[in-house]
Amino acid sequence: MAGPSSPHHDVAYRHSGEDRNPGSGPTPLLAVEGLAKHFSTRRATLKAVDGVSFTLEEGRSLGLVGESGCGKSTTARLILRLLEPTAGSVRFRGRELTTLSQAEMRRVRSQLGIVFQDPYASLNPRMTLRNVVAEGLRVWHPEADIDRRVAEVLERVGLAARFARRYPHELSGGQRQRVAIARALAPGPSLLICDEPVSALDVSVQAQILNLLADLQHELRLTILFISHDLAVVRHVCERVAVMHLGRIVEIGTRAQVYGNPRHPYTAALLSAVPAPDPARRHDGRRVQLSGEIPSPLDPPSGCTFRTRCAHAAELCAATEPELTPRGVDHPVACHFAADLPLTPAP
Amino acid sequence: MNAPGVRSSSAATLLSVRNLRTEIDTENGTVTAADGVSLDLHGDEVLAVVGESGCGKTMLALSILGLLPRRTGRIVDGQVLFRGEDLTQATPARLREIRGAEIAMIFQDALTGLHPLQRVGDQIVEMIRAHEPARRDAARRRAVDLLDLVGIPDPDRRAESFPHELSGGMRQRVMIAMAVALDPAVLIADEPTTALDVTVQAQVLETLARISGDLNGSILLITHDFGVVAGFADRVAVMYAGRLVEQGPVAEVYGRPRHPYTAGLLASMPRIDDVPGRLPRIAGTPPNLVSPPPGCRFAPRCSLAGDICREVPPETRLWPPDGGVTVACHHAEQVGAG
Repeated sequence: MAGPSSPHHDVAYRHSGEDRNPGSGPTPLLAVEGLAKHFSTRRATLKAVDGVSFTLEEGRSLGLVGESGCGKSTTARLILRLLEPTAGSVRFRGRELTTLSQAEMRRVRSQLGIVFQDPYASLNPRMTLRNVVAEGLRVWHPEADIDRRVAEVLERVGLAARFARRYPHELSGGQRQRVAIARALAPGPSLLICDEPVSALDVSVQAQILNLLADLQHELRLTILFISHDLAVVRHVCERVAVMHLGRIVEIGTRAQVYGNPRHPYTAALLSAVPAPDPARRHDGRRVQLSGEIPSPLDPPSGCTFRTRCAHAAELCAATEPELTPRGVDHPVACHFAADLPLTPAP
Repeated sequence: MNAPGVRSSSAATLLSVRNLRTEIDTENGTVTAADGVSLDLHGDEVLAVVGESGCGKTMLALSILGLLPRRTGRIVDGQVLFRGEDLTQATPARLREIRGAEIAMIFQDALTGLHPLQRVGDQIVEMIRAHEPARRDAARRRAVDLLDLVGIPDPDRRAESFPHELSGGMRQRVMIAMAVALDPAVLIADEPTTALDVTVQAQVLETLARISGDLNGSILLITHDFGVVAGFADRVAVMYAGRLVEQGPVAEVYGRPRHPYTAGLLASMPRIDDVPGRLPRIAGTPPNLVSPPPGCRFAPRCSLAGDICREVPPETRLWPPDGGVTVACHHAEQVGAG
C-alpha cells in the first residue's frame, strides 16, 4: 500500500528525462494532435486514424471507446510508435515522440507501459514469469536489481513472488493479465495504455482486474489511456471519455458529460445499444435503433461519416464534415446539430 | 420494439433435459461438462443458459443436438426429450431429420457456419431441399423471402453474395434465415451476437426476438452476457462448472438472486446503468473440471460456504418453496440477507 513516495514512484521520476517537478505547469502528460494513419491499398486509401487530437493530464484516465475498426487500437500503437503515423504529433511531457530516433524512442518507452487484450497471446509461453516481467527492465536496469524489482511488481499486482519461477500456462486468464500488467509496470512508466485489457476475461474475473487498475492509478499516480469497445467498463474506469467513429473522435468529455448528456447521436446510439442487466428496462421503449451497418472505412460517406446511420441527418451533413467543437466547458462534439438534438443519456 | 414479453410457463414443454451428464475427454483428463443438468423449454419462450467460459453451456447445447465431438464426447447419463422422444437414443438418421427441421442452431461465428464458396441464397435453397421435396425455384423464392424477413436489404441481390462479401451482422442474419427456413419448433442460439459490435448486436437481437415472436418458436439462448439475457430472455438458467445453480424467470432471478454465484456476478459487473465505484468481486477462478471440488463447486469461492458445502453437493430445490425459482445452494436462505 505504498503512497506517492514509494520507491517505485521515485524510479519512475528518475527516468522521466524532463519535467521533474510535477507541479511545474499545465503541460499535459500526453498531447496528441492531428494524429493520422492512412494505409494504402491498390484500390483505395484506408484512413484508420484521421486527425485525432486529445490531451491527457498526469494522474488522469481517458477512455477511447468505439466499435471495431474505429481506429482506437491504431491510435494506441501510433502513440507508442509501434506504427509510424502518416501525420500529426504526439508529445509526451512536452517532448515530440514522432521524430525521435529508434534508440531515443526505446529510452522513452520505459515511460510508456502497454497491456494488450489477450493474455494468452501476449506472454511468451517459453519464458518464466520472471523473464516475462523483466523483459522491459533489461534496457536500463542493473542486472542485480532485476529479481528484486520483479518480486516487487508481482506483489504490486497481487501475485506472490514465488510466481516468478512459473510459466504462463500454469496461470488462469486473470493471473496472466496481472502478469501482463506487472510487465508493463516494471520499468516504472508514468503512462499506462490498456488496450481492451478485460475483454478476453470472464465476468467474475474482470472486476478483479478493473479494481487492480483503479488501485494502481491511485497508488502510483499512473496516467491511464484505456481503450475498449465496452461502454460499461469505460464508464467504470475512466474520468474522461472520447468516442471514436471511423478514425475520428466525435465526442470527448468527462464521464458525466458523455454518459449523462451525450451530444453526438452516435454516442447516444452506442449507449442505448448496450444491454443493461436489468429486465425492467426491456420495455422502456427508449432504445435508439441504428439502421444499417458501420460504413466501410475504405469508402466512407462524404461529410459526416455517421450520417448514413443517423436519424437526424440533414443535407448539411452530407456536404460538410463537422468539426470537433466545444459545447459548454470542455465537451467538444463533432456534429452540426449537437446543440439542438434531443438525445437520451445512458440508462 | 417487439421483444417477447414474459409468457406463461404453463405452455407445453417442447424440450426437456433430464439429469444430463456429458463427459468430454481433454488433454488433461476427462471432464464432466454437464453434470446432472435438468431444464425444460416451453413452447413460445426464450430460455437463456448463462455462464462463463468453460462452464459447459456449449457442450450442453451440443448434447441436445447430438453434435458432441464423436471420439471425445459422450452422454453418459440422462435424457433429452423432444416432444417426448428421447434424442439420446435416436439413430443418426433420425437426428439428421430433426436437426434443422425441428431443432435448428445458430452459432457464434457465422463465417464457420456458412460454406465459403457457395452463394448464401444457394445454401438456404440446399438446406430447404435437403428436408423437403420443394422445387428449386420455389425454394429459391422462399430463400429470398427469408433474407427479407431477417432484415437483409435488397434480398434478391444479396442471395447472390458469397459469405465473405457480407458484414458480420449480415452473415449472422443469413444464419438466422437458414435456421428458421424450415420453421423449427426450437432454435438453439449459441452466443449469436458475441462476435458483433454493440450497435449491430442490438439489431440482430431485435431480429431474433421479432422472428421468434412471428414464428411462435422457442429459443434456447446460450450466452455469457447477463445484459443480453435481461433484454431478451423470459427465463434464465445460470450454469457454473457443469451444473445449473439457479433457474427461474429473469425478473425474479435478477431482482433477487438466490445463489451466491448469481448474486456475486450481478454485483461484480460494470454496468452501463450504474454509477461508478469499487466493484465487489468474486475471489478466485472457476474450478478445474477434471477434478472439481467434491461438494458445491462454488464453495471455494463462496463467502457463505461452510463444512456442508465443501462435502455435500447441494440438491436443486425451489426457494422460496412457493416461488418459481430453483436453486442449488445449502444456504440460499442467507443470500442477499446481508
